[in-house]
Amino acid sequence: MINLLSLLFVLASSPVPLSCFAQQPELTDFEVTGQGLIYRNSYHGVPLPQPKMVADLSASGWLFSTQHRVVGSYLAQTALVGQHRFEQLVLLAFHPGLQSEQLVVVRVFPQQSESWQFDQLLPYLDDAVMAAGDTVVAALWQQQQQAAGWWRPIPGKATQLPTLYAGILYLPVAQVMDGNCPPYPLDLSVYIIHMHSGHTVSPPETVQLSEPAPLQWQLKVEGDYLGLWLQHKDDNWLLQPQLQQILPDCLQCISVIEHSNWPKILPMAHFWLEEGAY
Amino acid sequence: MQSERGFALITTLLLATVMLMLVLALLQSSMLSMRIADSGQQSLQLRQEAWRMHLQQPVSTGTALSEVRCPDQYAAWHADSLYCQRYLLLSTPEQGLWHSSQVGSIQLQLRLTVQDASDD
Repeated sequence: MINLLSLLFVLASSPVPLSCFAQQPELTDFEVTGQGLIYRNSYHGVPLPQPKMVADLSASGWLFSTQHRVVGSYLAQTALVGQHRFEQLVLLAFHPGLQSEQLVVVRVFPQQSESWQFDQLLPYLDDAVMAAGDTVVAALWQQQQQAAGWWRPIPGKATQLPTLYAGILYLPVAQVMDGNCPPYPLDLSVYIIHMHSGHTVSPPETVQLSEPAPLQWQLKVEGDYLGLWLQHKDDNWLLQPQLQQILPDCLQCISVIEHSNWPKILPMAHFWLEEGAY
Repeated sequence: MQSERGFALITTLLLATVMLMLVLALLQSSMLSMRIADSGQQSLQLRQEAWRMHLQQPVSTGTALSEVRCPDQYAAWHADSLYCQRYLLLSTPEQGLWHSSQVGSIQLQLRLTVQDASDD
């Protein structure tokens, strides 16, 4: 009965999993329904003649947040669809049976002809898998790269969509005892997750929020490195004194970002200007 | 007898002069053909030098074009933290052989929204 009531409460409030914590919606090329149908409405801001369904995750039975984040990226080796570049949709979902939230990442390819089903998504690589031998991890890594995405249960309630820095997702999660919204002061754990596989990059950092207020992320120069700060009202926490980035060489490969390498310059085109030459 | 001797001398001298002119002309033309053969190599070197000088120019000296969508990266960034701007760079025309040519390029600058620690 309690489960049913909380389910009704969750169903009545929109967006579903973020009901306790308000967030500004972002305008993207995609539209996500509560049942997990994902449509592409436009392509880089240019509207399509009709919405195209790219994924149907309704088989999961989860309740999806309509709010999502879109990230353009590529994988080093992808046999899937023969395309390396794709967009990743970062979503939150609610599992009514387990009463727990899930972090879902769905890959959308530009030339994708069919829509993904839920069973084409793989569960994340958990700590037990990551502790296995290198060959096992490499094989699972290959499999993960062929999949349409991944999902990962969240131990608590996500207060917002994860923030992305250099291929690493930073997801603030509030601990909940029952299905209700957690009271303040609130203990918040920031989970640090690999974008392409969902495994934990480093152990979660914990902060305490005194009252409801939006979280703000900031990059600051800390010597030669970049520091990631979390700001909440008058409080500041240094989450990462040396911001890291994921590397395409292997799953566990991580490197520290040096501030002197930024801003980066990419040459796009070279040409000769010929004047008065015949 | 005297005049016959003079005729032979003049003929020999004339012949020698003609031979000398032929040899000189041959030498000159072979030098020219060597120069022509080298010119391709030389123009490549000059182009390379022009590119080298151009690429040493800092991007900030170029004309800022519009901000664009950032290219996809393996270690992707959230859209709010990464900005991309195109720059049009033109090298200053060099005096000399390549006087009429100018090198140009379009470059993309990837910039992070970073605050200096001294702001606090």
